[in-house]
Amino acid sequence: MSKLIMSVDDSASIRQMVGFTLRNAGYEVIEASDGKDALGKLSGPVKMVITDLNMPNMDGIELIRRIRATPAYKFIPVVMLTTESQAARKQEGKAAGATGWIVKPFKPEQLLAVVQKLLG
Amino acid sequence: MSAVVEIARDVSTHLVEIGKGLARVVHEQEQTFLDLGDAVQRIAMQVGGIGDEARDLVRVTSGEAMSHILEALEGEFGRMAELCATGVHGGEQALLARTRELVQNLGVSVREYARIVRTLQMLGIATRIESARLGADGRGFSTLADDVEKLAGKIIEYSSSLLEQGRALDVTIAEAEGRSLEMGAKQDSCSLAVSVGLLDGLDNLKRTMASSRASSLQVEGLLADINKSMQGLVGSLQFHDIVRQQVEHVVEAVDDVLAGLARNAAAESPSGAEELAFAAEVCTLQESQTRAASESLSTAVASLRSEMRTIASSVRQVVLDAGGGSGEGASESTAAKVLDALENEVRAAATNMRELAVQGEDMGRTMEMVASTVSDMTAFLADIEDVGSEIELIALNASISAAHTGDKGKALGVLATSIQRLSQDAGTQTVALADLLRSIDTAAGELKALALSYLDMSRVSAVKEELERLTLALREASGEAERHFRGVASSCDVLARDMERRVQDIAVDRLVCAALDKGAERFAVVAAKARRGVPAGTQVPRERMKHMHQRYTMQQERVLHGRHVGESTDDGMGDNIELF
Repeated sequence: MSKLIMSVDDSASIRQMVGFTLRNAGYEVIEASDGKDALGKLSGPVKMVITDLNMPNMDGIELIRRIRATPAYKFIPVVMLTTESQAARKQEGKAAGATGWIVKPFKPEQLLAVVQKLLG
Repeated sequence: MSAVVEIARDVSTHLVEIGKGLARVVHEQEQTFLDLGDAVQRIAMQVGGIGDEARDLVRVTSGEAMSHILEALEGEFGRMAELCATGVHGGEQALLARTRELVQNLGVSVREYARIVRTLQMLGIATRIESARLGADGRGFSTLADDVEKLAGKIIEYSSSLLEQGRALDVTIAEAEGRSLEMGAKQDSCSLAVSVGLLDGLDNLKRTMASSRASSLQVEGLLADINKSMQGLVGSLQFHDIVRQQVEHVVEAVDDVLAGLARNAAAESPSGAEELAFAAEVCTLQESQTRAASESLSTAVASLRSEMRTIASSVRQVVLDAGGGSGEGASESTAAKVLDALENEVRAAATNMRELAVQGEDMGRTMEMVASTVSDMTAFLADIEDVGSEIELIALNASISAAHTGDKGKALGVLATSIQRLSQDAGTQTVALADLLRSIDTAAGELKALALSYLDMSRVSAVKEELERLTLALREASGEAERHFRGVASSCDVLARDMERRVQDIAVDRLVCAALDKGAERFAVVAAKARRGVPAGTQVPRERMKHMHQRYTMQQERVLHGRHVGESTDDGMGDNIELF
């Protein structure tokens, strides 16, 4: 059975490329357009979340905090995928509970290496 | 001051247009990027499908089935070679020659026997005459004469039959010798057909299959590489989002400037001039940021085109390699030609073997005939041995009769002695004859045993059937491989054309970059306009400029900003991945 990963980004083209990369490697992908949409869809066997930082309605940092506050998903890996590369923002993400940080544009092999490392 | 206000209004009007224009042009092109992304996904699926077919191709050309068939063929050719060798041996010719010699010796012996018999007959007649002259005293000799005559008659009868059969046997054996030579020649021809024709054909086939296997592995490898290369397109397709954010930050900066200009629009104060100076600086900076965004997009799309052309070129290479594997370009594929040639060799070898089998069966029948004739001749053995016993008896009678005659029958005595001697000679000849017949019988037995080992049609048919089965299996496997090669070539041809067409159609960078570059030019014009309106000595609010740094998410944006304000912004973030 394939592992289910949630991809959260307000850019349709980024969701498309993340989905293409992960599905090609055999993962199932569920998409959300921002943090609020993601929380609404977070259910069942979601094993990992890959989220953008700057999004309307709810940004990535807040999304991580809410995920960590949900018992069923408290320990799932949550990785930021963002254009943001400042150290201060990274620390903020880490403090909120992020598992990792990837700066766009991502290379498919790097994304897959991170996913495989975190999901086993 | 009113000039400042006037210029500020003018600048604001232009900035509003620039901001709207930039935001719209990037947003409008999102669907184009999504369509490109969909196309890439479809292409990736097609490559995946072709890759599956290439794996099937490798399975057919490299799998166990093919190597089993080739091994089985080699085994069958070996069996054919063995069968071709079953037949004439060197010993057979010698055995035939020896048998013929024995038969000829038999003829000599029988003729010698006949001579003895004639002499014996003459002595018998002489004995009868002398016996008649002696009257009652010669009665014993009359009986002797009768016995001699009867015996002579028997011997003549046996001898005639033996001579006749011997002559027939000699003819048959002569025929067998001729057939044996023919068989030897046919055997050589058959062995040559197998060892040269078939084995050469098999070598050619193995080479062709190896070449096909190599082509299929190459095709599989190329497709795996193409699959990997598809992932390279993912980087370029993320640039709509990246440029969108860059433009968003530009528009946010423009909004800041507009807000500041609006705040100072009504009042004619020193801050109005500062605001205009700030606007000029921001416009210059945003000119750089916009040009950088344009360059990012241009580079990304150029990279996308280049990668797609490279992939299309690799796909074309697969078309060539797969086409070579299927033998396209020639009137018939190489594998089919080689198989045809091999099947022709198999047919020729099978024909030779059939002919050899027919000869073998004829030879077998000839040997049967020899054995049958010899069997008839050896039926006389018992009779000849009886003759031998009778001769001994006659010799004994002759000596008794000779002893009884006394002086009166001296002549009869001499005749009886002669009869005795001749009887002994005849006895010796009888033994020799019997020995010869036995030797001929033994030789005939050996020849018959040899005949059993000759090739017969049933064995040829069995080999032929098996070979037909194997060559059919080979043709089917080869046909399957060719179908896969053609399938891969055809799919790749369609894919390559599709990719080449899509590359031609990509124009998003031209549209967007043109708009971004135009926006950058307008920023430069607006900056110049704003600066013309700033009175000498007006301070640019440096802190506000530095504060703008915080809105940037990207390293590139921060670097450009830093250059403009004269500060280093290298935060040392080299790698784009970090796990906490």
